[in-house]
Amino acid sequence: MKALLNYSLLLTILFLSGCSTFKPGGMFAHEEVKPWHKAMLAEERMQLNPYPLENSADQKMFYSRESANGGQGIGGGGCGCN
Amino acid sequence: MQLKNKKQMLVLPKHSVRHALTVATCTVLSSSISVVSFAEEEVSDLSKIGLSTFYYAEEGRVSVNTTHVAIENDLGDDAFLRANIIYDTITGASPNGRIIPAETNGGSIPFTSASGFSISINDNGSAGKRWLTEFTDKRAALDLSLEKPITRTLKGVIEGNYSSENDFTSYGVAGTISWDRNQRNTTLTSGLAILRESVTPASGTPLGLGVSNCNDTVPVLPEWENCNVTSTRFGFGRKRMFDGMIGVTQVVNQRTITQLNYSLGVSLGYLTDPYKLISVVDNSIDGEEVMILYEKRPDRRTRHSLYWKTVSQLSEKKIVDFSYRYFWDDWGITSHTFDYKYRYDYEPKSYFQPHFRLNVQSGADFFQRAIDSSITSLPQYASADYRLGKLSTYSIGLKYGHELGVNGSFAVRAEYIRQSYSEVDLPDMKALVYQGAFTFKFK
Repeated sequence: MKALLNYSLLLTILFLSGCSTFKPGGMFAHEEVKPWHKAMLAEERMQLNPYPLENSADQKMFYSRESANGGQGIGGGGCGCN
Repeated sequence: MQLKNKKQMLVLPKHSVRHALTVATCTVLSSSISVVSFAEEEVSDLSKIGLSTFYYAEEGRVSVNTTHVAIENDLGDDAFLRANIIYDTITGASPNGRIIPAETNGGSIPFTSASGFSISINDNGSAGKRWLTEFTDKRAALDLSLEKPITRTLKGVIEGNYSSENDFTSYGVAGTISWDRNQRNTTLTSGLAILRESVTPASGTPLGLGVSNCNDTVPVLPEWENCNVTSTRFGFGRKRMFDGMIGVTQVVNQRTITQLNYSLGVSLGYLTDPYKLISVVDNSIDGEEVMILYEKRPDRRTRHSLYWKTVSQLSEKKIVDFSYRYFWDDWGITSHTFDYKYRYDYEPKSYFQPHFRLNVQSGADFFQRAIDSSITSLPQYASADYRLGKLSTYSIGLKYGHELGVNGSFAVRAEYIRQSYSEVDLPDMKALVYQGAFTFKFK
């Protein structure tokens, strides 16, 4: 439990380090977004899965060491590692 | 997918000419999310090839080398053919479920270790550590997918995959359909996947909770009589997995996109790990191990997960990417997983990205460190596999990435992983990960 609290504290610090640079209104401030407003969102680094080679390796690595898996999508092959 | 269309609409002029099947970009193995080309020049219909070498090493346990080649061929008209080829070599020692005796010199263990039954398993354990089983294995996997628009706002992805190891085979199909709404600011996604797997130990699968090995202790249960006789073996273990997913992706504003997915999965068949054991201990002699049984798990598992992810650009140089997953199943396992990445582009073509991940999970209802020899009947299911027990894992890492011209990029990263256990004797697992990845785009 103590470890969980420590982890939660660290996560909060990390999260707030990002939040400290948020623009007024925050990252979740709703705006009407027209097609011509989406240049920033179209950048590769802004995709939901911008680094698929890393993501693939991480998913398999943690799949073989933990009970939980999935969530991001479906598909992909199996592994005898779990 | 949704954004790719937007980009092509907004930035990239479309080419009407279909390209021949040539090599191209990378895509993720297990996700239906596609990759958007980001180029400084106004070019379209780029194909991509990605190469990755990945090394994972646990202290005193397993190490894995993975080579991954990912190809994306742009077929034109927003259609893509993707291939992922993965080759793993795995070596080392993995916890087999047996207790760690108080004396670690092996003297307190009254008999030889469990019989090896994979062609690659070493009977002697790792350097006398009989709670570890040494093994080597190789895995080759191929994943092919085709993404194609159905209408102006509907898109489908179909996928087939196959993987093979010394003692394991898997093949499956998956299909995803996504529907853009609200000027493509909202995308609804649903998908189904079916996977068939078979585990093929060289000498068959063992009887669940059957005796692997015992000493001369007088057996208590009828099942444990004649425990020196090798227990019954069966044929291969087969299982099927059905997974469904629904999700929504929403553009929140010009710099933030968020996604929420719910996944439901059902696994049926032989879900036991034929290589995992569980100790029977006699508490009248200080919990000494007196017998080793094979583990046994239920033959059905229903899995659920809720996954939330957000990517937001804080400034031109800073992007935050975080996700949270809540997982639960009918084995009694619940899990919370947080993942946080913070990308900082300190130069126009170079960036650093710290990463932190945390997973905390509870144990399965049938998880036990060991079985007490005084029991009057065997439990219905029992496993001492640490992955089914209560544990926490954190990972911290740093990545450096650099763009090579407008069509190439490379990245290197290192991660430190530590896993701690609450219900087993194992010491914390510490691991290091290194990965190098190169991506090249071309017409």
